[in-house]
Amino acid sequence: MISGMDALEDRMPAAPGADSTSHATSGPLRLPAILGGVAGCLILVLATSPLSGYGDEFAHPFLTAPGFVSGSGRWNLLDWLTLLAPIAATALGLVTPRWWPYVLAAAALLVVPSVLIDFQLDVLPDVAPGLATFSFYLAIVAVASCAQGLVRTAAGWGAAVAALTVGSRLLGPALSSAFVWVYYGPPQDVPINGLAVWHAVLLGLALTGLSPALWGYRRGDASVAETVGPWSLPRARLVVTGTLAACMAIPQAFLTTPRLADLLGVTWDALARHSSAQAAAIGALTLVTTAVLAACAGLWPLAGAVTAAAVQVGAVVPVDLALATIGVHGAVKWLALAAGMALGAVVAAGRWRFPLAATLTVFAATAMFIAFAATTGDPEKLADQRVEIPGVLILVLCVGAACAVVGATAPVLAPRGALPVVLGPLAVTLAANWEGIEQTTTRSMADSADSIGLDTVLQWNVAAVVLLVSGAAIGGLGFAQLLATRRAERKHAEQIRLEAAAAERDRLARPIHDGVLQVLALVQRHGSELGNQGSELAALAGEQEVALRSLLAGGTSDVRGGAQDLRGPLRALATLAVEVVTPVHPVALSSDTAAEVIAAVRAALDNVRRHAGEGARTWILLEDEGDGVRVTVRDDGVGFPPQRPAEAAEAGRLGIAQSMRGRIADLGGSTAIESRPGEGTEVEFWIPRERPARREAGTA
Amino acid sequence: MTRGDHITLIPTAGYRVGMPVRVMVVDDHPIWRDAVVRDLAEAGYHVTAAVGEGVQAVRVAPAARPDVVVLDLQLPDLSGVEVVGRLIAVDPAVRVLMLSASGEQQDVLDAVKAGALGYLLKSAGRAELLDAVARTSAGDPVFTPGLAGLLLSEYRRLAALPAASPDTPSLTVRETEVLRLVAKGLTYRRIAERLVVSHRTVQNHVQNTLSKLQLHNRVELTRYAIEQGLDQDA
Repeated sequence: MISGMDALEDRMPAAPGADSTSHATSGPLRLPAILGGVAGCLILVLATSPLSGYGDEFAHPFLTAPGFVSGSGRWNLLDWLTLLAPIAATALGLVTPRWWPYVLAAAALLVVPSVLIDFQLDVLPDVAPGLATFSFYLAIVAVASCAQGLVRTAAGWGAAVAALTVGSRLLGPALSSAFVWVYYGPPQDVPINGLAVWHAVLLGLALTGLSPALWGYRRGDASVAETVGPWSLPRARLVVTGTLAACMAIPQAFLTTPRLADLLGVTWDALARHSSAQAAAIGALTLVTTAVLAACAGLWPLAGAVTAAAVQVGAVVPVDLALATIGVHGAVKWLALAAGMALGAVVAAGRWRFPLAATLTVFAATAMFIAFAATTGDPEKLADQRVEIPGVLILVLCVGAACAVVGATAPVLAPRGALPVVLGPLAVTLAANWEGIEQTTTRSMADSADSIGLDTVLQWNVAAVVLLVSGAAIGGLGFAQLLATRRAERKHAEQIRLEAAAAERDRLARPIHDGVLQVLALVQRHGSELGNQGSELAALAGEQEVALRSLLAGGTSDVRGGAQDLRGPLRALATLAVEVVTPVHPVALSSDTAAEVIAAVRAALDNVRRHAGEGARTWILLEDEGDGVRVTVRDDGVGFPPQRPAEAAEAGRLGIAQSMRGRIADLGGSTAIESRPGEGTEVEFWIPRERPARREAGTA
Repeated sequence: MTRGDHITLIPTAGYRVGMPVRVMVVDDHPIWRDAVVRDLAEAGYHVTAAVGEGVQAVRVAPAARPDVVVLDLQLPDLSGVEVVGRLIAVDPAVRVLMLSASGEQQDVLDAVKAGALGYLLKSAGRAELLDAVARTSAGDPVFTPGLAGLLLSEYRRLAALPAASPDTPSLTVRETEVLRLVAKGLTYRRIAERLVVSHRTVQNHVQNTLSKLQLHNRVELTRYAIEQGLDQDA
């Protein structure tokens, strides 16, 4: 934990102040964003906590996001609202990540009717739960967006905020009698109770915490905008998959028993008798679809969503039992949950978040196994006997593990712009359905349902295993992230090396341009006036000057991907007697073709050296004609009469000519040789860019 | 082209018939600069200024009133292209011959488009330099094979542009033919013989290829200035 805190402290000063607001407190810490994120978590607590006016049946189940309607009977406004609210809220939140403070403010206002109902003020009593649903989905996407922006400037704080989202979702449903120790319930005839007061206090705290962010990011959170980037195909893909994941409630709502029976090919009363099978079938369908959607969003979002969902599912069962164990003592329950959240947040914030989060899951699972053994295979005894210390321990460890694992996914997902999508619709839908399946399938093995909803030994053990699996998953995710970072660093280092090499070449080239080349040219120019030795010197300087110039010119090729700039190797052929004329822009040919062309040009130059006579000069002209490349090698030597090929063959010219022709013909090109006595020889190669041979092979 | 041609006294600039050609040498390399000045003076030119920096050259030009500027493309302060542009802005009649040690292609092309009349590698011999100055002072472009190759590729690039408008300059068949022959190292005389035309005709063709590009460049610059609203500032 110490190392985690240290790492967190390290990061704080290093993070640059991204927002240009004049807030004295918003320096590199981006305090408004951190406060806003915590405020968003309070809104999540509010949106998931039971309404005092609605009785205890709303208190459970954890993770089951508000708004999953049963779809039975006649549809009223509330049903439609709860069905469509998640979709609308998710889409809105995903499209406007940089405006998260406003989205959070909207979410806070949407829970106001529910809070008023707590106070027996029936404002919009029918739609209030639907509005709370809307609020939940807005809030979770907005808080994830806030974390997304925070990760860029202060990775620790971003991860901590992401961690708190899960804690809030576990804390909300547990609130029902959480604050009894502060405000003892009033007599039955007084309409105000403790929960209502605390809802109001939480709402006030949330709005207060949000206000600096509302002011500081009144033009949007630039930090989020930078990590999410402008609209592009990958970003649109994330938004669409996220929205589709939120849509999973629709098929669920419409898969009534008769329809599912039709789908499965069984009679509906058979299905009705096995309601748990029905729930499992629907849950599995949703689970698979959501997983496919997550995979569509990308490999990293899939891994992140599955990991985040797994740890939540694994934690729910022990958290549920532990809360039952601690019982009505609100203070202990609340404090234990808060301690778990703090533990998870601190672990997620530190540098060693991946190993520590995995370790926490192992601790939590170990505690569960110990409890299992200590109760001689019946963990229910913990709740029956109200043993508080083990309950608190399990609660802290499990909540801590859940928060730490989810928080640890943040630095992995945020740079890919996927945090709002993954922690929002993907993980919520996955976790809710996964938990639903687990509950129903394990319940079906028990004879009777227990009052606290924990049914079997199997469920306890499955939860422990799922926790361990999520620990392995977060470890794997951390390792994958490490590999990806290493690769990016290597690439970056390579880039820097290349740039340094280019800069070094420029640095060397400048003095050569300015000095050496000029001096060589000067020596060449004046040496010849100094008599015999001077002429030798001049000739030497001239050779070196040409060689140096072609070396400098050859180094600036910028053609990539298996192609080569023909200008470079051609220029390297320049000497005092050979002038190379090339276009301004690179002439790209495949490396193989370029090598053949260069070989043909070399053969032509050979020919000149052997037969053109003393003192002959040569010009090589390279022309890029778009559909092909033309290379001309002309000399001003003695030439040969075209009507005497036999003589030419005798002299050995034809042999060389044939080899040149052969090379160029293999490339699908042509060679023209023209010569007149006393006027030198001109060899012209034409090399098409598309090789006709390949086209013929294609049609054959 | 031949050694005999180079002593060109008073070949042009009708209003100063009888006066020696005034030359300014701009080169940051003192030994080289002195050598060029000496060669030019020996050949009968009146070297009115020899400076080592572009800014200095632009400042001195109105006083030195050169007919020909021999300009090194690699100067320590301004780029050769900029110096060409400013010199021509000061005196549109000035004729600029560029010298370059490295033959950096894009620089050469840009300078020619900006209005320079010719280009020579510094490794060229003394006779070649004097010949080039003589031709420049006469208003004849000095075309090396390398420069011809650059112009050919520039015209091809312009023709291949997707937004080729009617006023995009293009070469006639004959001009292309002449440019290619220059790029292949043939002298004007040989080209004239081969095409069965006069020496003057070949010169005209070559000059046309250059002036079309320079005109296009000026039009583009003006259009750009108008688009950017720079004309209103002026």
